[in-house]
Amino acid sequence: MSEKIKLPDGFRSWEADVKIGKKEDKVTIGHWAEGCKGCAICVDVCPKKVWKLIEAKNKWNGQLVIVDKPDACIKCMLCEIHCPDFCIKIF
Amino acid sequence: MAFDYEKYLRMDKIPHLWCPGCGIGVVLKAMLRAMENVNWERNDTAFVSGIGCTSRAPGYIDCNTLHTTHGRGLTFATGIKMAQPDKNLVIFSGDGDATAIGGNHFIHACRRNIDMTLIVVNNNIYGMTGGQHSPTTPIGFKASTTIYGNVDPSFDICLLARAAGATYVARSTVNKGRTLEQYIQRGFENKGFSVIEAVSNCHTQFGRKNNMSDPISSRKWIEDREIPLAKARDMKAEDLKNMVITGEFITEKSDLERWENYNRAEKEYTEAYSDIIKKVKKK
Amino acid sequence: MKKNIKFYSGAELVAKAAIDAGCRFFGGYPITPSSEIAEHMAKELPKVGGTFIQMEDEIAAMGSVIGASLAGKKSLTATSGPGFSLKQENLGYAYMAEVPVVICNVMRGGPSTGLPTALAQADIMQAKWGTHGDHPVIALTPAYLEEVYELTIKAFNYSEIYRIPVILLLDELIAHLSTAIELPDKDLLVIKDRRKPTVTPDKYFPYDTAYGDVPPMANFFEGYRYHVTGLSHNKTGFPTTDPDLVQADQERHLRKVNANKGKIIDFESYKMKDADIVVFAYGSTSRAARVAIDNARKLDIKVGMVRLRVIWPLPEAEILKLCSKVKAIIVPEMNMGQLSNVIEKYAADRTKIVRINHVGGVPIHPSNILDVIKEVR
Repeated sequence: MSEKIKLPDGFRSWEADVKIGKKEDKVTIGHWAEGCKGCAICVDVCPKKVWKLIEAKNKWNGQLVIVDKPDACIKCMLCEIHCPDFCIKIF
Repeated sequence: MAFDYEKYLRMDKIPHLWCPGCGIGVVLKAMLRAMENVNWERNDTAFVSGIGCTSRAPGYIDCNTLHTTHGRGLTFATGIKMAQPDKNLVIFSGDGDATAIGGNHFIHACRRNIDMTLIVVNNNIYGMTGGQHSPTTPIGFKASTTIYGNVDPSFDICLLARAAGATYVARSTVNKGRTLEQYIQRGFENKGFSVIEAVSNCHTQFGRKNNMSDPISSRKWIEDREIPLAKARDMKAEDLKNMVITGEFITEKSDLERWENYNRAEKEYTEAYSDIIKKVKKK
Repeated sequence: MKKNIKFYSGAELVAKAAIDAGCRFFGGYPITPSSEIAEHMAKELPKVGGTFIQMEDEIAAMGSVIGASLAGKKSLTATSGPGFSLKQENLGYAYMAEVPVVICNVMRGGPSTGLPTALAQADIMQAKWGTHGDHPVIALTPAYLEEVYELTIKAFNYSEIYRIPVILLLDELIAHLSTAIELPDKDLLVIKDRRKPTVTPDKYFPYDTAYGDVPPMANFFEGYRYHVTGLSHNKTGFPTTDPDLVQADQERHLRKVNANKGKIIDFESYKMKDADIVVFAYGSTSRAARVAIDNARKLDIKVGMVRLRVIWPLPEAEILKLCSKVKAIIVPEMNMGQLSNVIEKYAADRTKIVRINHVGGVPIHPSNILDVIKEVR
């Protein structure tokens, strides 16, 4: 993670080199597992299948998302914008 | 770049109480981004709400926040605005809160054109009380008080707001977070009463009774019914039944000048009132 | 010295006293017989930089004054019977959220639309128990126009001191009566304002009992950014269902008034020194009682009057004392016995309670009361 990017406490991060169109870029995907209710909206809205739904023990519905393919990310921000639980940050 | 929601939130209250996948969180986020876009100071901004799922939103925002009685958020907000006209007022309301029990306050706030922004999260149901039908439950759909299918016609919140005199009216859905942000921002920028309807999913109460019990299928149901305003203008009424017409309902000057708006406020309410104060205030 | 004597109506005096007490917002809705108060406020408030709004209904009017008070302006609303009923929901909110406001209820005949333009004292119990749940109540019942001014200022003071809504109960007759009165010197008025926090925002809690039963109140937009709700809440203002916290908070709410009863209770004792019959009265009815007592004294009947200037909280100790001292308590009321029912409980067979209940809209005549005094002598 580059020095400029500061994720809030409790966020796990995935970093990857990505290609957006023809442009090379870096992405940092932050996810807050403790606040994630596993609604899977991020999985649904992501055009590149970056997110994956897994089973997990939590107080919500026994589901959680994790980052499956960070290098596929095109930084469209759809997952961050549509996460209802403030659990996703894309840098 | 990631948005710093933490700056505006009471983080000790997060995770919030809404169900997994509830659209209210998406609307709240769009609102926070809009607030950043217009550079509102937290100390100068108050969030007011009534009762219901949506009305819990202000509690999460690190501003002056007021959670009032069912349907009455607009009345408290009107008092605040009259007392402190230079402050920013935002009201969160659900479809039941805004248009059923608070319906009278809703149309009169529109008519008065007082400088506040009302965000109505319309999920077609009473969520918190257990899934009873609301004034926006579509005909034929099931709720815990319309077991055999709803026969109670719906309000169109935006048309109602427009007819009543609101000077900025727009509708989008929780599938379009960026558009919501843009509309809410324009609502904030409008010097007058603004209504933004955010069509949202309640898969827990509405969806479960109508064969779409997860957020994805509920959101899909909304997406499938969405028709942009420009397209809807050329469509027949029967083809628009139960559809979600999205867009800005007052954008063009010609709209404001049409005969139906002949009574529309020429001035924002607190501005008009401050003219009175200037005129009669003791020297 | 030039005296400050002018011709005023009761309604006008409510408005004048409110503004002199620092009221800078009025939210109302037209209703007979209280509308004149709104009309006077609409005229006078902008002159002092205050704001007036006629809301879409009574419920909205009550909401607006709570909002304005939270935003830092002392606020007044005025209404009558049916409107007072509609205000009860948000009145309960003001008790729960501890927001100072003043509600002037010009009473009229009920139930329902009842007698809109006629005299009644129909809302004594509505003022006490109108909204759901338990809550402290301060309700004032002026009987003279000088008192309308004085008690309206007191109503604002109590609301600010105790962070509660205060109810001003006016008889229709008092609101509509006009007479020349001398107002007190404005510089001599005692005006109280809500206690503000002395701590920085990070250490502020809106319901912090560390400062006593009445927590200091920050206004909105002063940098404190707190949360207000009608749900049962903890000291931070956020909802709680903790049974101990909810219990303690309700007890504190009641204590705000109960522990200060001595300062709030206010009644006039008239010719009570040797009285063995007492007339217990309030509002306009007490004026008829006074005439009746004066006439009875001419007949050597030892009768006096306890006249309540503050009807809630009741002077319980005084009533108990009277019950074992006098042979009868006469309670003339323009209702079917709302106060006498309460006094009867204190009496518990130790003395006779005699009721005079007129609900026809016509004032109780002094002769009606004198007749009863003669009967019980």
